[in-house]
Amino acid sequence: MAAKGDMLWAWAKDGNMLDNGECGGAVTALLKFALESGAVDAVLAVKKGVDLYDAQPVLITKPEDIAQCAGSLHCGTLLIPKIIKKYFDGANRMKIAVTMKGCDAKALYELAKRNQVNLDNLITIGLNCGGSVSPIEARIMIQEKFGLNPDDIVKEEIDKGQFIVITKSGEHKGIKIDELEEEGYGRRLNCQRCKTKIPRQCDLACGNWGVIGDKAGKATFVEVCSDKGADLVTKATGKAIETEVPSPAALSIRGKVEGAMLKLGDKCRNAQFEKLGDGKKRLDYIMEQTSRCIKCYQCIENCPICYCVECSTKKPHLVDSGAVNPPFMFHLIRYSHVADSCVNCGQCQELCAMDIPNALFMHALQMEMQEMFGHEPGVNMELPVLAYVEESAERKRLSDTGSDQIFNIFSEGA
Amino acid sequence: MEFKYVPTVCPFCGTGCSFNLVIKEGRVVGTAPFRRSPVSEGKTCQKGHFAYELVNSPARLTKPMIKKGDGLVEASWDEAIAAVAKLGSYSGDDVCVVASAGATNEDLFTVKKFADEVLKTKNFTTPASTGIDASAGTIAGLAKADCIVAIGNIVESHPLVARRIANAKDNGAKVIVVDTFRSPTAKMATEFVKAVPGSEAAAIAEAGAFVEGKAVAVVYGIGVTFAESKIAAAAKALAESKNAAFCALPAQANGCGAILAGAVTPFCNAYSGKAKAFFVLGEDLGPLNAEFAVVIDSFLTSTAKTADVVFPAAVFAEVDGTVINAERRIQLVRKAQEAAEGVKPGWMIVAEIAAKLGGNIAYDSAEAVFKAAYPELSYDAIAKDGFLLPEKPASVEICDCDGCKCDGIATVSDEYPFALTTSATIWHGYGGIATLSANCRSLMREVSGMFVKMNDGDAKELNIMPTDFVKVSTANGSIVASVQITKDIDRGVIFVPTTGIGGGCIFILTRGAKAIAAKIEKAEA
Ligand code: SF4
Ligand code: SF4
Ligand code: SF4
Repeated sequence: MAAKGDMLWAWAKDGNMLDNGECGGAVTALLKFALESGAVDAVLAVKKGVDLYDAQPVLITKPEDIAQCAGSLHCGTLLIPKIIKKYFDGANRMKIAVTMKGCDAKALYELAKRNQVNLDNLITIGLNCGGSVSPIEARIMIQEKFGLNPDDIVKEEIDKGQFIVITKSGEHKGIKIDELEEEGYGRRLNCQRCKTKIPRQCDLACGNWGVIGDKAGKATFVEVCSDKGADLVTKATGKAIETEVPSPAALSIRGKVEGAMLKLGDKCRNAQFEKLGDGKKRLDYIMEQTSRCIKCYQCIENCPICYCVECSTKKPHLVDSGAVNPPFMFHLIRYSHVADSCVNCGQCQELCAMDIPNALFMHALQMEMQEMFGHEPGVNMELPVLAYVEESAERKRLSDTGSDQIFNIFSEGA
Repeated sequence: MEFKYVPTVCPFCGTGCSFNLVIKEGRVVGTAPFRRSPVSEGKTCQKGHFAYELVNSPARLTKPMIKKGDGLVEASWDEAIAAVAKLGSYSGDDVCVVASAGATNEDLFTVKKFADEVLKTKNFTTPASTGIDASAGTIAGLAKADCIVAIGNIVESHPLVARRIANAKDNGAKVIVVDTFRSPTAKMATEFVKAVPGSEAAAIAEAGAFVEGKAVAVVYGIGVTFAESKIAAAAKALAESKNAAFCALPAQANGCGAILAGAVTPFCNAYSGKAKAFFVLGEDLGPLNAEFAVVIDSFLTSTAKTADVVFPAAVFAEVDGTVINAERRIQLVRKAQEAAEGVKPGWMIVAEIAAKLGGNIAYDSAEAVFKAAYPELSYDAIAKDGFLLPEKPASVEICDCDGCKCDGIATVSDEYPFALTTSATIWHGYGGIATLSANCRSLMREVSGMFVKMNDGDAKELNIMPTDFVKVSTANGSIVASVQITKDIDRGVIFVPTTGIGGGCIFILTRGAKAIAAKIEKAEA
């Protein structure tokens, strides 16, 4: 009997999955088991598209098709929750088991708070994530920094602070992430700032940190994070997976890896936020950078917080239809509607047609609001700040004080 | 449930971004980023993002049509094929073959063969047939330039090329922009050289004074006016004098492919009035006044409405094929959904028509056509990164036909006091490409008709408010347009986008000129 809070090593019972799956194939085995046992109607995971650098979502309904889903693709920067909302009716009409990295998990919670996805119908298998690299950036990095042909790479991984690639002739080459990132290569900037390395919001959080000794590379470390997760593990044990209790040394190693990643996250946050400056300087910088916006709508279309059918940016009295460049109001609407709940998934930046550092801006605003109101998005089902504003009381306060700001986001200094 | 992503190339401009088409139960239901694109890395402009909306638009043609009396009536394929027989009586200069430069290489190659072998005419043209062929370097490579001369409003004509100009600027490059108003591109400039409408060439020469650096690139967004080759010639001269790379970006998605397919007769030819018959694939030339016209299109364009026979064509999401972007990269267009019963890819329709006229240009598959055109390549070989064709020296040929020769600066008068300048709008393409954007409701929600940008002082003087509609007139004709009042445009200058949308069309005003004298009056909506 597994229970919430349990930590275990798990691996696939099936020999083929054990050998070919990532880290003993436990995740694949669990997904397959969820499908076979009827716990879910489908599995939504990520598979290789045109090549290793192209991560595509795949919906699997037949257990025998499960091998399609890839191991961890570090070039897999796509965000799954909005796909569930857009194309699977928010999992309202089917039960889905889905794999998620940290930003997926946080985005999923934010969509659930807004009634855009039905968590009851989802089994979420979290995957530890040290960060991901945009595919073309990865190819350039492999070419320029590793001196290898990106088409010769068969596998890439992030381990012990290194970005490691393996070529088809079996050559391993690793370079320290720090070194790569100092030169502008490496993980997406939002990944560098990310501190959700083990997605405990999911039903299970799985990864290879803390798998040591003769199990190294042959088992997955699973943290059971919910009753739903415990139920899946309990039922699958002996049928689809085998488990073992990890040694205290393994727990401590896992803790250390996570701790190191969190520390690195803090360092990157400080460095990146510092460059934004404070107060007026920050506002000027944001206005200057966003002034080249072409209104491609990608930041809205891909943001997991944006879900409104009647998006304010499309209201002609707020933002002129057809005007390019759009007025700053276009961005102000996003800041005021999203900042309290931004989960730093990076989509609005990675997909911005004009390379505006949108996620950096929004994440910085979010952090300030978190400091002011204590609300941390994406970690649980607690509602965001704006939900607590009692409208009539707030209006009275604004009229009494003559202020026109609900939150003073651009105040000088900390 | 079937759910999949199919990566494909954007059907709009010559940048050649890619996106995934999202397929649910066999139908295109959306787009999603294709981060593996070597051109755009998952990014697109609004046109690319909303391109899926046109695929299952209710306005799609699904049946052939034949002219009966004054109008078109639906017909069977057999009837329609029988009705094209008359086309066989035209050849040489009597017939004009026009294709969209957004059509696939497979379509263009087949049309070229059809023109050569069946209609025996050299009159094969596309909007990309401007005499300009220049594509040095790569789009991504622009980010590494230390000095860029951007000619025209590239932010709106080729948005994801403009991204690279922004990257270069962020890296410290000098960005010199030549444009006729403070366009979004001009706003990115470190040096802005404002051109008098119609005298862009002079402004380009002037811009030369600002050029410095080791890696200089001159980038020109080709439009669809008869002045393009003159501007390009000036740009080429500047590039040569500064030892710079010169890249002229075709307006439509497969402009490079169109030229390689042999569509080299100048586009102005289609408007010369010499041809008695027309054979048109996917392009909108406005209403035709021809003895006989055959049109292949996915929508009932203004050209199709005046045709004798119309065939329903598949759209980009329904065909396999290839297009070549501004940097000479051949990329795969992938079939993502089945076309409706009776709707066929262009090359197949052309082959059927050819057969009726006694020709034989039938192929088994799109890839068979491709291999006939590019024997050393295959679809597999270009599936990931496409294939970069070798660079060749830039060439610009200036057309001196009557239509093109007279194009110059706008001579304003008391009657026509404004100099009208025209270039791309980001929301819509030109001709056949505007047909596509006009069928994307999200693009139409932003811009659903012709508009004119004018200076706020001029607007005040004419008592024109932002909510007004105005009548814009030139010696050629007039259109009704909404107004955008701005400080970004000089007094005495107005801007009308090079597009045809919501019934109006730039061509009514300009007849292909890049600048012309115009007047503005308040109109009833
Ligand atoms: S604002 Fe950007 S980073 Fe934040 S949740 Fe939305 S897309 Fe992600
Ligand atoms: S993604 Fe970038 S260019 Fe597009 S609308 Fe958002 S900020 Fe503007
Ligand atoms: S920039 Fe051009 S190719 Fe890219 S999405 Fe926009 S219209 Fe399509």
